Amino acid sequence: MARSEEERGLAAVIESAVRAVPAVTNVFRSGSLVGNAMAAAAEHLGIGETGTPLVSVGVEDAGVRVEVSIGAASSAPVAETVREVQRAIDAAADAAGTTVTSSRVTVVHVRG
Amino acid sequence: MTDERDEPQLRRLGLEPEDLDGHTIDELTDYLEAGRQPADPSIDGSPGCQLALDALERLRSLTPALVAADTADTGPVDSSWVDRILSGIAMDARAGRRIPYTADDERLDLGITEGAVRGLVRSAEESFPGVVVGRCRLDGDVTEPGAPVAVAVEVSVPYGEPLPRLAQYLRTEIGAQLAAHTELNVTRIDLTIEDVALPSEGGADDGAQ
Repeated sequence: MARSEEERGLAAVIESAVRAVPAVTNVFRSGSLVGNAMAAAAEHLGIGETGTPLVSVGVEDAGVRVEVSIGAASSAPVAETVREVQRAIDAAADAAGTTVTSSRVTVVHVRG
Repeated sequence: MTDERDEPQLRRLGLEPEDLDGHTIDELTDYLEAGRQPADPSIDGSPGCQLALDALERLRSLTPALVAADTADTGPVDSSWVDRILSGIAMDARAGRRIPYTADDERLDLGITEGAVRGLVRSAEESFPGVVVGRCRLDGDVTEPGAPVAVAVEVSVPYGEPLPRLAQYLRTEIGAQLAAHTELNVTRIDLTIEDVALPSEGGADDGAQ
């Protein structure tokens, strides 16, 4: 589960860009339930990574795979917020000199 | 955090320990009562806990009037009613199926969880004082864009309101929330009024006489 420095750095940049989208209320940890549970347990035991970005990034030859779970405010149409998040991810990756090959954005909570 | 003694209670509510990332409804209630302080990252970072907290917070704002009414007029609080409300909250906490948003780029996979959508439905409570949403179900293949979806919702409503008019109002509210925030093809919203909450003698601020 250890990430490369490149993945960690890019994940932090993308997370920051996602958080800057006005109707995003929170960013939640992405990835599988089992993977998250193992990461949390490892962190709790002091043998895992701490303060790791919540966005999941995988570097491939052609670019990067991104997975992010967000909370959204109901003050804006959530579908629009999701698309705005996607644009923010693309822009952040572009600024970092790479391309998003696939992206999975999931709204897991809507705040009234 | 969850231990073996808590698991039967969680399962009675239709929850698995992992749905609340190891926390219990009791812990979340305590956290809410403490004003969410000190901040607990394991709760604040859990979508399931956030959905359950939203529902508990709305329920808490209504509970004094409802419980006062129940105890004053009909004796002890109806535990089956409380169970139904709690099981609705528990169901909200489950992420459930992933509901897609259309994307014009094949690189993209955009979606919202069924739990988040149930939370949207539940937020219709806020549109009418005294309404409490219990269970909420999305029937149909929500993972298939455009597939017909029927929404079934159980509610408790305050005494004194004409029920057909209130039901229509709530249907409209729920439909508006779903249309604003999802791309579901909602073909029906079935509302079941499970309870009518009587007015409390203490003059709860619900407008009832």
